Amino acid sequence: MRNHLRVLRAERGWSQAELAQRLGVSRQTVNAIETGRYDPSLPLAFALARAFERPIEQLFVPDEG
Amino acid sequence: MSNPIVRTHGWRTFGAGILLYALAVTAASFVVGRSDPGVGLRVALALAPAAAFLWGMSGWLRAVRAFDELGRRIHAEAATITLAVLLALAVTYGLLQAYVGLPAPHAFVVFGIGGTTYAFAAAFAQRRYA
Repeated sequence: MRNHLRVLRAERGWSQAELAQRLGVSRQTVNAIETGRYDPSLPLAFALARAFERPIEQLFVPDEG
Repeated sequence: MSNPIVRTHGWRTFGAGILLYALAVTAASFVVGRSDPGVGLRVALALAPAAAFLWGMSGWLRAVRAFDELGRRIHAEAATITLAVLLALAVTYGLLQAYVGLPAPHAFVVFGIGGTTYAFAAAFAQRRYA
């Protein structure tokens, strides 16, 4: 699963730590999601969508195939 | 979501439970070694430390549940690796005892190996997501 979190976060000028605090998760979790090492649960994906005020499909893109 | 206060409380309960367990085991062996209690008391002395251990492990579980979802996954992976290593070691050592007569290790050795394996396994799992 690819995602646009790093770009969206940079647009808002948020650090990983700030985003993590908004979501109630660790900075490591935000970093792992951004780098594609970890796919978040649905509740966390929706929390990200709310934080960025975007539909969830604008944040996450499924891999081809 | 992550809850640092519950997590800290859980780790403290875990530490206290394990300490209490070690004390209970030591006290039980002392009593059994110095006197000759009846079967009922021997059974009670053997079972009593388990209560402290289970209390400690309930703290560990509360602490892990208070991590965020990635933290819970890391600890679940570490626990799975630790369980696999301990089972493999226990069965292998048991076979070596039966086949070549290796001595029975002290019960606390299991905790030392388990704790060390868990620490390495948690670090290993953490690196996967770093």
